[in-house]
Amino acid sequence: MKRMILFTGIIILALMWRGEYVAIAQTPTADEVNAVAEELYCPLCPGLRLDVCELKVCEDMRQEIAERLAAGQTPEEIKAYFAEQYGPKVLGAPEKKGWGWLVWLLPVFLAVGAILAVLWWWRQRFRGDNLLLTAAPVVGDIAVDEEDLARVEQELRRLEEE
Amino acid sequence: MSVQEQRVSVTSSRPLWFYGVMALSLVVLALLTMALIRSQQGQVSSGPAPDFVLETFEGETLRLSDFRGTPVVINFWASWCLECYREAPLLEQTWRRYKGQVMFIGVDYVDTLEPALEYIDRFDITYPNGMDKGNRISDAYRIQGVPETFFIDRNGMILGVKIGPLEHDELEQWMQRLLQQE
Repeated sequence: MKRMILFTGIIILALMWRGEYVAIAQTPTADEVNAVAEELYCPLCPGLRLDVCELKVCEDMRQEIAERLAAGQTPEEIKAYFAEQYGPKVLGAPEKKGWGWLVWLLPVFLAVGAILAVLWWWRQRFRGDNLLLTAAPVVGDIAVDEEDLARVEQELRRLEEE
Repeated sequence: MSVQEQRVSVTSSRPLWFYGVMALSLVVLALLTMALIRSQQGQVSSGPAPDFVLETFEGETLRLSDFRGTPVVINFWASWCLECYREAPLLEQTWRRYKGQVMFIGVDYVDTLEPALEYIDRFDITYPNGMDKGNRISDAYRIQGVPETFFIDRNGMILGVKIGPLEHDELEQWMQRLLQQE
């Protein structure tokens, strides 16, 4: 009988220890919570990351991250939940879906447009077909007319005489 | 000093894509301007109350327009808002007194579930409350913070808005105004 009680006790202790071990293993560390929190933003303070925000609501949100990690959710699932709950602004960047794509792609379109515009201007500026002959004399790469040139030469002669 | 013939550039017609880029830039500029103007606007304080659907903490779904014909008080609150604690008992008390004549709806702004439910329990709030998922309702009403309370007449028009915690006499006056409105 004593052996039976001892055996049962050992098994209960082992199960309790195992349960506690599992609970400890499932409790996320502060670093794991912060790894998710630093990719989210406070819904109330513009531009402030969730891991550094000291507002009560952000404390509560970090607590919720810990609970969701413990429940086995992935960081992506947690971020999606917060985006649904508080709006996409908590992600700190537009979502890569729907109209969010417009914000991501617009700078690319504008950059390509700007490059094309510069290339077009360059081509127009120096294309032979679009250049017309001019009788104006050139000094270096500046075109000057006869009158200006005569005045400069006159000024130079006057300086030499002085 | 060399004098020579030089070719000078002349203007030619611009290609179609050039006008496309210009049009796109103008659209972006217009959108940014609209966003800036909207961000500078205060809360909606008159005109038709923006309709919304709210899922309550009890799991029910309610729509504001379903209460047409009854005056409605919409209170935005949050469990982290200390000012909200001041007015919570008064709102509940007033709801119980005017139940059947005026509808009260609580909208929980930027909150987490557990503290929100503790808040509801703490003040024994019995009128429908729910979380503002995605801030859709608070964005529609352009609230500036919490607490903020909107008074909607029986025709669905915004009668007024109170920023900050409500006091007893003030809320009583609002109730009378709501009930007097045809």
